[in-house]
Amino acid sequence: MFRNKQSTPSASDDPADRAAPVSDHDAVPEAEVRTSRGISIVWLVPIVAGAIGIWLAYTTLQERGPTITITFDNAEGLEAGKTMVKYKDVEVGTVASVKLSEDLKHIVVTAQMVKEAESYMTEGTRFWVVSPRLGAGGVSGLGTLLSGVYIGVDPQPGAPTRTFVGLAEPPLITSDMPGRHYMLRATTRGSIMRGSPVYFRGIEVGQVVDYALADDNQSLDIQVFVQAPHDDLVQDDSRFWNASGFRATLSASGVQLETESVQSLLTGGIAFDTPISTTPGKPSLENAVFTLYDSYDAVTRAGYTTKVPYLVEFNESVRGLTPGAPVEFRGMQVGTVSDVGLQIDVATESISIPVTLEIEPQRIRFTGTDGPDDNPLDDTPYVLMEKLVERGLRAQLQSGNLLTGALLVDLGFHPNAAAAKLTKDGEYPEIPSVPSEIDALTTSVNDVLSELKSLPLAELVQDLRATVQSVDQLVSSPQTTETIDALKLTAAELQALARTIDQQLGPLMAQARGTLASAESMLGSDSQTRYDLNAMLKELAGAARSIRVFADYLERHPEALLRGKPGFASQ
Amino acid sequence: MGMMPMRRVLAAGLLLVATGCSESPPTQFYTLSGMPLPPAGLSAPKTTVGVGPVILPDYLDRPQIVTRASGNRVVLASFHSWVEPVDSMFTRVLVGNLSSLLATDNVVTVPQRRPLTLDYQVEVDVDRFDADADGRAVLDARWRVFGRDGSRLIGEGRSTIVEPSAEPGGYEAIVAAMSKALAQMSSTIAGVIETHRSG
Repeated sequence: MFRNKQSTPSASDDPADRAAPVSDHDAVPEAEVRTSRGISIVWLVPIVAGAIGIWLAYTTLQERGPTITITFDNAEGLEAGKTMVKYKDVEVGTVASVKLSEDLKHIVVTAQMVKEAESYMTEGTRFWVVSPRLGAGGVSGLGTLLSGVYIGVDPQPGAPTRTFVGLAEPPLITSDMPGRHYMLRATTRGSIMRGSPVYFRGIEVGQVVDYALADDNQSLDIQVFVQAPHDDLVQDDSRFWNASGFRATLSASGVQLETESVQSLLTGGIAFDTPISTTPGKPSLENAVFTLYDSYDAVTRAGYTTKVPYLVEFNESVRGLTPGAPVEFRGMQVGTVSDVGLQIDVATESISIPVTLEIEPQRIRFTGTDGPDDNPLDDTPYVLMEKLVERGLRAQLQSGNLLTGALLVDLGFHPNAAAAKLTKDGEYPEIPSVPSEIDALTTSVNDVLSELKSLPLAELVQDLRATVQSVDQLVSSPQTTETIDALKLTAAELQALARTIDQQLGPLMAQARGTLASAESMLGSDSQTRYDLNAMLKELAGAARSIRVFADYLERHPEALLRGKPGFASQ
Repeated sequence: MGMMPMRRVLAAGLLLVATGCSESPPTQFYTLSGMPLPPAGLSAPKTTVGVGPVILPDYLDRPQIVTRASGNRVVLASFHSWVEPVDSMFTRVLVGNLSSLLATDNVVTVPQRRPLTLDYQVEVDVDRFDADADGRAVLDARWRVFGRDGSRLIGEGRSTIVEPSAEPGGYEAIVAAMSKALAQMSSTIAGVIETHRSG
């Protein structure tokens, strides 16, 4: 009960109060009302609380990083509040919410980044979802099977921004990899994939980043990335070629299979090489353009830049001769067939098959020139060829591959060939040709056949017929038939007899031998049987004698059975 | 008793048999004896002589010793027997005698077990070999000697030998006399061979 309250009379209407007797204090002390000056000290509490609260809020806001939105096509595995944004496995943000975009075609992910991420929330920064993936470079992101997907970030310098578009696939090259990009121009993709390795002398030094059709749709632009320090190896005269799959060569020493690596077998690959030159070149710049050759052989072939064209006309079937077939001299390639065409001259109504060859003098080493600076190619290139043709150089079709039936053009000396010269009438000088060996074979077969035709076969046949008829008369005469029949019977019987004898003789002889052998063993003078026989006969004789004697005695003294022999001697 | 009549007969029969059984006196066995070895021993030259076959009369083909009671009656001894058959005994003793007489150890019985090339062959046909009534041993035999492996006849003869026994009637003496008779014939035959051998 408050003192103040007790002193004033209660104004309550509670009858209970009125009924209760009042305690007997007569003097009710007066309260002194003193009003406090200023704000009471109590207000300190809420002020402090408020200050703390504001300070906390400020700090939080200060420490709070930027909130960004990333637009993905697919939000598989992203969970609001749980999925993290990581850079180099360090948590740099968390996904706050995952929502559908307004047109329902994308997912808008709002992520809360940490304060330090502010510096690289720029236009070039890329985001992607890290999940288990099987790519050209192998399997990646397996750890997310257990830990759950996360959003990876690749910081790039640029202007700050808060909205991003997420990548559908993780980028192949992240910003932390030093190196250079180059552009390769190819005619076909040839099993190159994103992520296919780039090799230099067998070492993987980079990857294919991307490929796209060129603007003119005639070639392909392939972007590759070569890591440092190997990017210094790429110089302006480097050659890139497609090293996918394997290369098989069939030669006299057998089959050789070469492949760049097992990976290139599966995922394709590009290799490059820089030719050794006297002056070391400078490394190429970023995004330099090169040609991607189809194979290493194409590189080698492309190395021969000088080509001297010639023409050859063959009077036989050129089936199997294709552009690109080699031109050989004694097995050494000296050039290539560049074109095989069918030509009809409407005016003269003649048909010909001109074959254009390109001799590559760079394949040949020339000696005996006037000096090291004298390049034989500088002279009229046909002078040498003229001389050779006069000596008997001719072009001939030869079989290049028996399996496929491919042909090649062989230049060789044919001393028996008709004299000819290098004709320079047409577009290119024409090398005279000689028929191929198959053709020569066919010709000689034809000659033989015509020879056969000229033989007097009709008279020959007549004579033969007459002879045959007289022989037939002789053979079919009845006497001959009878004789033959009789002979046949005799022969058959003799045969049967011989067979019987033969059959019987063998076992008979064997048996006889066996019998003789056993007889010998049984009856020979040393045999056990003989001895036993002798002994037995002796015993039998003895037994017979004893029985005889006994019977004799018994006949004389039958009482001896009962009474024994008589006691006195004799009688 | 009340035994069956059959049983009685059987008992009586057995009794009779028992009385009849008595022991026989033992038989005595004899063998011919051969001549003694020469004092000088058997020596070279080695002569191979084949003896046989010796044919003996059938009446001697019994173990009992045969003697003649008179000229025609023959007595067989009940308790005196030869220990081996007479023909093999005769041949054996003859072979031994010839070996001793000729001083050669190569005297064999023909037919041989293993063929030796024979220098001489002797055949004997005995007609009589027994003791007469006076106890004298009588041996009557015809013999032939062949040479050169049996192809050539060297000598022949007939030996009739009568040898008196030491004690007339005793079988021991009779056998001894018979042995002496055989020895005599052996000497005769050996003489023929010896003559041819050295001559």
